[in-house]
Amino acid sequence: MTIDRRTLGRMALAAALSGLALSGAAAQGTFPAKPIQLIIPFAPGGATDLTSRALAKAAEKPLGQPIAIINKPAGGGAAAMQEVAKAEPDGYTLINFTAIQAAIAPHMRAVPYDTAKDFTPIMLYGAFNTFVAVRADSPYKSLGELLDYARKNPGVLTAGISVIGASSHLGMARLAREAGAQVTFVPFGGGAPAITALLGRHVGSAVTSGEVLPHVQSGDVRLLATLMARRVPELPDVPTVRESGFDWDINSWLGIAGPPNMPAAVVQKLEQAFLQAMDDAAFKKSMTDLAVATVRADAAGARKQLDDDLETFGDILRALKMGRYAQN
Amino acid sequence: MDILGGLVQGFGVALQPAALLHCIIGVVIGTAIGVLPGLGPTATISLLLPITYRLDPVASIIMLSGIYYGAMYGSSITAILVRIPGEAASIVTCIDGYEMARRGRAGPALGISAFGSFIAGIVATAGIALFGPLLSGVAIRFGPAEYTALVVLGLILVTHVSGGSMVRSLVMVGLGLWASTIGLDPIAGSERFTLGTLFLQDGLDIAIMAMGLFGVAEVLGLAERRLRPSELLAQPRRTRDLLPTGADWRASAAPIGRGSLLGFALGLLPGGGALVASFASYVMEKRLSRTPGRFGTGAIEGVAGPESANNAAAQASFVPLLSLGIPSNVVMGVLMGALMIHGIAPGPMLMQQQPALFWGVIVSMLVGNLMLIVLNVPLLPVFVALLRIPQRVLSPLILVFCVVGAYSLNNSTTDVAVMGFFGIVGWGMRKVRLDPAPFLLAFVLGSLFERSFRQSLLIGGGSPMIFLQKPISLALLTAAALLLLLPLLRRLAARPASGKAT
Repeated sequence: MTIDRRTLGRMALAAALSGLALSGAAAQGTFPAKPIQLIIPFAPGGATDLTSRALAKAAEKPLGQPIAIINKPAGGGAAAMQEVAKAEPDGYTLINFTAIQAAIAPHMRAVPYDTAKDFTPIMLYGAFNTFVAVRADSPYKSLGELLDYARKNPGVLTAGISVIGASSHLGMARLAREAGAQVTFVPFGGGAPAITALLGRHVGSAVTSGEVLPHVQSGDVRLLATLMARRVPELPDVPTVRESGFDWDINSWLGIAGPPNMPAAVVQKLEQAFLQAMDDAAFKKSMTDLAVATVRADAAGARKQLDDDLETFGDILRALKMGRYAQN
Repeated sequence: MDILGGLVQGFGVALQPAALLHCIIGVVIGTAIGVLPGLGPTATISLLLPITYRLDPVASIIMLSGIYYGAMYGSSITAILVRIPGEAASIVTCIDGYEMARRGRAGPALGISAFGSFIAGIVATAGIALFGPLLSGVAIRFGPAEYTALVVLGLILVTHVSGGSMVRSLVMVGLGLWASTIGLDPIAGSERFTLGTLFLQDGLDIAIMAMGLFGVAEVLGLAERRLRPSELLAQPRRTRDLLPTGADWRASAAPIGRGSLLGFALGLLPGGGALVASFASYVMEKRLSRTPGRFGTGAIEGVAGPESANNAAAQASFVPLLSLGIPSNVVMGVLMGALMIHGIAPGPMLMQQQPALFWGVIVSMLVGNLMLIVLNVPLLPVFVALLRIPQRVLSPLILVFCVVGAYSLNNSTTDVAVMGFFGIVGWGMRKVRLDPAPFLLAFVLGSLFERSFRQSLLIGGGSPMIFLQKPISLALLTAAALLLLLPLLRRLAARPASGKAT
């Protein structure tokens, strides 16, 4: 879907380079001339960390410079966002840009950055799958049946989630609201403990990402739906939220961004390199192994996704009266 | 499942040269990062993950797990010698371990910690081999309600952790509970006591606080008093004199046994792990001791128990991961990522599909523990010799390690400042004879309690009856109630018999 844009981008890059050579800004023409720093706003070891490391590794070749990775999880990633927002826009400081910090956090609490103005989105490479899961011995075979039960028994259905305001929580809360059902959310601080609680019969359902897949393969857990736009290739039988009768989906995307006002030539060079890195075998393997969906978007596509989602997540949270729109 | 056949297969895997090599690399790296404060197994394993892509999956898991339990060995060295917990799991070792070192008994403290860890490692490995897959089924029965009850039991035991006056330790417990509420509310996600700052949103970090309250505070205290080398460093030089004595062994045998079993049990639980296990063991030993007053002044039981417990717990936490695909703590979460990167799905199918991996990793723990003891015991004189470094050289070095360690946790200079703040607080606390141990313990239990208590109430529809309806939780709460009432009952029972009840 980005082929045309990429070709355009290459032409624009060539034009820019020749223009720059004339204007004497040779330093930008030879970007990157030194190692690049990629800040990951999460602790090491998670799916975001591992996939973006693999992506960065693969992007080193087209860029011709090493990419140093630094994990800065402080303040739920807000500190890292703030640092990059204020960094020199020379392309040497980048951030692993995700819907969590960029599109959801600003609606949850005061953050020290304005996502719409403070970043230059460079590309998107993936998205977290979000699944609604029940135990295999549960009587509910479809999302409709589960929500039906929750409607008839208000507040009885419990749903294990990672944290309040995660896309899993927002998605399930929206489902419940539109179905006229009442679900009790129990945050466990992470996807894995929420699944543990589901297996131990402490909660009736769980809304999680790819970490649930081993339990689906072992036959302990049944997935009722994915909240993403398309079915997951590895799970062709799991319907999407749209196929279950709702007219929306959730895209908890992952990408790369830099500070505001980066030179166009630098953005294009980075965009090309990271998009090219997506074809790398090791990167693809990390995405499959960690069950992260592949989403490919160039700089313009990433900008549009960001602007749209800032609005969408705001609407969802306003409707749910949560985060900064809570009324008590 | 044929355990004997499994073990034979496991030995076949773990004794291959490549596996042995990776095991030794793992435990050596683990010991090293355990010794260094701050840099912990989570970060190290994450950073080494890309290196293991090209390795055989069994070899890489053997190496990565060696890092984890190796770190449990290493962290006690720093705790005993310089009163800085190399890992959070060695916080309690700072108390009596360091006191032993000050009294010229660094060798026996290090020795008992190494042997205790070794014995606990063997017990845990045997436990995993014999009951692992069976026990993990019980472990998932531990939900929020059961966890809450377990923490209540723990909190009742805590009131006896400090040697000082009850009022002073209750003040510290109160402060610790309050400190645990700083940050984002674990359920609703709203901000509490963050003063509008970002860094307080994550809450306070136990490792940062412990490094400040113990390590930095100690350095500040030493800077005040002009120490003559002989005052602190009267350590024997011969290896034979550095090993625990017969009396040490007699005092430590039961704590090591209890610590191993307790650590194993707590390690199996989701959310459990080495830190809670070490605290629990310390509290239990103090509670059971006939001379609880010795705790805090260099009681060897206070080193032997917790150090055994943290090692047993570290190994036991592999059970839920390998047999259920459930990571019980952050390190296991990273290891799960490592397995998935190798295309292996941890979970109930793992034992059938990958018996070589399951049994190979378990036997490698046995091998790794043996390597650790072989490496550590001959090095005892070297470690102890570190104490002969003049204070004016050692103190700045400790500070440098603390600063680097604090920074490396999250790559944040704010963490370094917070550690410095707690260093000054800890120094002040010592002036007014307030003990940091109940503070840290209450901090850990407070956050565990709040989260699981509120989760239980959500699940129970707001009714506290959920704690009485679940059998495990009911049993634990009954035990807690009995513990509270026992001294009372004993006094009542003793009174009519004779007047000299104590």
